[in-house]
Amino acid sequence: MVDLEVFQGPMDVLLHLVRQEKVSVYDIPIARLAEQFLAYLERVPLESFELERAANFLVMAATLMYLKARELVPRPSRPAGDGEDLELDPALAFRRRLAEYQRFKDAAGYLQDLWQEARKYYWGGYLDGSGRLPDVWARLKALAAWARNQVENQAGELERQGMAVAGPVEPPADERLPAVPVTLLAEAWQRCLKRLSLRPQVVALRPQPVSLRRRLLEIWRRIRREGHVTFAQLVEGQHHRLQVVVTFLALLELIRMERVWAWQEDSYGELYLAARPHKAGVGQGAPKRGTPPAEAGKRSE
Amino acid sequence: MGAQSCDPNDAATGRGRPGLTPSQAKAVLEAALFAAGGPLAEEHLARILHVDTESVGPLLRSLADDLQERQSGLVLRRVAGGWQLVTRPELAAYLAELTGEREPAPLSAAALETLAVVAYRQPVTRAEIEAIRGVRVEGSLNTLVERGLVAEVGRKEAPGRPILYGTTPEFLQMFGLFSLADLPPLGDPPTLLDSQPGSALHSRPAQGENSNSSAGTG
Repeated sequence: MVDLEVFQGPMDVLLHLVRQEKVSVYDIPIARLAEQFLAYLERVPLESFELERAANFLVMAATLMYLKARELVPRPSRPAGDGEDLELDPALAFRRRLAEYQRFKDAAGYLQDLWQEARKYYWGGYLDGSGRLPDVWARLKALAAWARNQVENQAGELERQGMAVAGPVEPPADERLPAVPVTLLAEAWQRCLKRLSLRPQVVALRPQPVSLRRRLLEIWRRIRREGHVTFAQLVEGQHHRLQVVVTFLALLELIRMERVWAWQEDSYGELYLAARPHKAGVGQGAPKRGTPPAEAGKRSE
Repeated sequence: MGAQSCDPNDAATGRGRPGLTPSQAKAVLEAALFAAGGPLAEEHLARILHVDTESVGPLLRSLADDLQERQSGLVLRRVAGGWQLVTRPELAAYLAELTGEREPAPLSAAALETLAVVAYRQPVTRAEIEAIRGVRVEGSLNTLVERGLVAEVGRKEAPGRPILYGTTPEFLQMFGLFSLADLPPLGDPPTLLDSQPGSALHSRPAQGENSNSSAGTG
């Protein structure tokens, strides 16, 4: 009989309980209401509610217990008919809240009836939404502007992650929107968002191949050309993690092959790199000036 | 259309229109309402006809009678501050076939309750709606805004400048109301006077009325 899903929260349950007692919200004893409410709570699987919903019911239970306890405590009496005092009686304030909620619950019923009746009328453009009122279009435009903004932000985010977005996102020159119902627009937008959020994952699964060999040669040439560079300069403009990793691996390889000196002035400080002068007969032997390390080709992809 | 309105011989579209007969004027009104789809205010219709606003009402009522007389599938209704050409309600069953799944989904009980508070208490903040309903209303409020029934109408001059919500003309149209004044009156709040004597105030052992201490804690 007491199906939780039909209730719109603890206030709704209380109104139901009051109706069951066949009295008004002003007549039901708070103690009776509290008792019934707690009995109701025992029958519903409160632990299966989401936290906030369960909390609503627990707060209501606590409120009722407080009001009930308050009534049991004798207090010094005052002359009757003090209106100001009535305003401040929490039990009365609580009953008024319930009564107020009842009014709006009834009003929701009127609206439901009006809706049922109004559903019988159709007008030109009803199906494609073009018969909607102008201010709806104003809101749709605002929604479209917001959507564009979101798309641009997403595009910027993708670019920061080193991925190009197909073409710039340009706001349409014509501000007029096609005649679509707002619900369809919202659905389309949801699909759009879904696609956008999937894109980085797709790219992450199939990363662009970065050639260790090519990177090694690039670094080698640059260091020889400029004499010395810092690591920060080498990874400048490389936003993708994989690119930075490959740069670092290439550097390790160059150091291992004794083509490059690397040093730091302090821990975690800037990493300086310089071409290492060749010593004949040391290591794998002196390569010709300017020729890239022979081993690089074997080791890179 | 532009070319036609330049044609001085076209009575229906010519500028100035002092020579329009009532039936021609009604034809213009019918055409304008058909083309608009949505409701048009009398002032707007008067501008289209180049006549005084006062003379539009009788023309519209006459047009409504004509539609009735010829048993047209269309009727005129007054809604959302204007006049709208809509299908005859008795034909709704036939049109359901046409609209199919594009029919707007019914509002949930939660959305209807929130809408009721907004409709009768506007402009109203989210916190005020929540105080009445006793639950969070963010979800249902968003639904109503998305469906164009409720919109932000301003900010309350209060700490945090909370958003004030109100109903839209779309709300009036979707619920078939001419104005907010056409909402069914909100039920009178049940008062202490309505209740059976004694029970509310005396539910606690009768020993007098509320006290100062209740004022303090309440």
